[in-house]
Amino acid sequence: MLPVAISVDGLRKSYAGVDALRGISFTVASGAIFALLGPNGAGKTTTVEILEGHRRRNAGNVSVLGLDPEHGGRDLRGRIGIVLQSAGFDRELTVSEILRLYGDFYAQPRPVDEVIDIVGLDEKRSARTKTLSGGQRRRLDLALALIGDPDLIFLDEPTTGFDPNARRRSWEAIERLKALGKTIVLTSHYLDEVQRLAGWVVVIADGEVVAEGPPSSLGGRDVSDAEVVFRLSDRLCWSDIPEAVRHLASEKDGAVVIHTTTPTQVLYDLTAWAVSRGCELPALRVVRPSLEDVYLELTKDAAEQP
Amino acid sequence: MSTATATPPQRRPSYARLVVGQVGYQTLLLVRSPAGAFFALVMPVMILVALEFLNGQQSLTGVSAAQFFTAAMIAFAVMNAGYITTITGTVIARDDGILKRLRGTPLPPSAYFAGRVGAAALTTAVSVVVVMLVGLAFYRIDVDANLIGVTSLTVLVGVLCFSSVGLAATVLVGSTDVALPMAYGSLLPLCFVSDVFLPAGGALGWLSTAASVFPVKHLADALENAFVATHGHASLTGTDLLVMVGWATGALVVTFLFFQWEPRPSGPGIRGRLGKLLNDVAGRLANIQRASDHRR
Repeated sequence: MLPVAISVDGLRKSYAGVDALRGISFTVASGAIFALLGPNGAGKTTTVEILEGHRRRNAGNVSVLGLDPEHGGRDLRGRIGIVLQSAGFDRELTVSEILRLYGDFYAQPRPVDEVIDIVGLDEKRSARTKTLSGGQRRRLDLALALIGDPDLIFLDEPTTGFDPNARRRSWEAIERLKALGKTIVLTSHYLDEVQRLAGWVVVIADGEVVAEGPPSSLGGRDVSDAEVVFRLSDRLCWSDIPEAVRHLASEKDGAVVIHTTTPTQVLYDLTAWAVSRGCELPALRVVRPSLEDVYLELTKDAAEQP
Repeated sequence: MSTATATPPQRRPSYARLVVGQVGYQTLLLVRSPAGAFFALVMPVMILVALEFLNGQQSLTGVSAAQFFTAAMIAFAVMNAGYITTITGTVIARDDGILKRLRGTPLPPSAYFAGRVGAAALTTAVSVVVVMLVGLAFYRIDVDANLIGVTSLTVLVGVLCFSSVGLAATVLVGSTDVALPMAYGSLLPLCFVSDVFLPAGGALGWLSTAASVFPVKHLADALENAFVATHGHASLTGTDLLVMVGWATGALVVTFLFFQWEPRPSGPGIRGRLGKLLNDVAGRLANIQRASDHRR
């Protein structure tokens, strides 16, 4: 297997003269869960559909499993599985009939029963697709992406519209796929989903990559300014705070907030002072920007556009 | 960076197997959809019975009405299962995103098209047999081996032609809502000027000439020749078949070049526009109500 499942370099796409993608580049490692994150209209689906071979690009180099998706044809389609954002089923066919039908397109399909089991549709095996609930339809989507036993799976907003339990089950299913050695490309605008699943995140906004990295350090959130926060009390007023940290501090709703790039030093100064006075610092905590804070900051400009 | 390790040789399913699978799939869909089954299988027989009931005692230009109408309904069955069902079925599948999903699999586009044509042929065959049996049983039409041979070949070429034209026509059909009106809207007028429901020569001269460009007239004429014109000595004119083959070829070229696998981006349809209007009106009424409450 190639160490790199997908490489994208300088990818551009425009619709009727409007740029949807303005030269984006990234790579996806084999066996990884890779997430494309971004607001609606950022270009996530366009990117994924170019990788899937559904759309042609205007410029740039794209390689998916060593093939150009525009010319990969049956060879490529036989090795990828796609969960589209919205695609229907033939209403009058049953779950197992559809899976058998699609399985026949592939060289080495997975057994229908096994796939039904993976996605948890056992009870609906003989039900016509028109009787399935929204969540069950999404699971059938996933089942159809898995039936050909693909090396690479595209999941375009796989849990949109799910209740919390269904999302949890889908996450577990996606993690099981990774354990089987599959490469997974996920688009999402749920940050908790990305945080839980993805090993690498690319944030796109307005057709450009604005940040990339592991979710834990995206946008430098692991090294950016931290906030040391505690509350004032009867025994502790503003003027009591030691000089060393007071100039960094501000007061907000009765709490002292200290912005710092060196939280360890600030904590040392504060706690040494508090211990020496024999008092407790109420509600003391160190806060780093959440993935959501970073994401909102990164995509702020795109969100402000009409 | 390491190179790709050799993947084990994989036996792809054969093309023939894929096509057979698609024919089975499309046929199953038709059988399970009440509307599809009605248009393709029931309607020709129903019209045959109605026409016989109205005209059964008459003789049309010297031949029995039963003989003529049976030929007409076989032509109608070919066009229903070939043209109408192909258009509606394909546009529904496209608008539901089923075609887009299929396009993301290793199924070759041509196997999908072949499946559509094959299923149309299978449905037509059943429909034609039913029409013939009804004709034989209730209206005592004359049938011989020669007629059956000529009819079979004409029906086969006809269904290839009309289902191919149906596939190509989906390029022009914007949405599921307009698929059936557009399909019948384009077919029925041609039927009336193409001597489908009247014996050849019934339509106005210039109309008849214009109609001879289209395949409808050639299908109808070929079948009428088989059943009526040389009663008992069914014959086949090469021109009729050639025109249909020509249309099939052109239609397949259009299909391969322009066929659309993705749902059309649709603005609000009539229902959507009406809904928006009602919503606006309701909003305004609520505002007026609020304003008057406020004054009080």
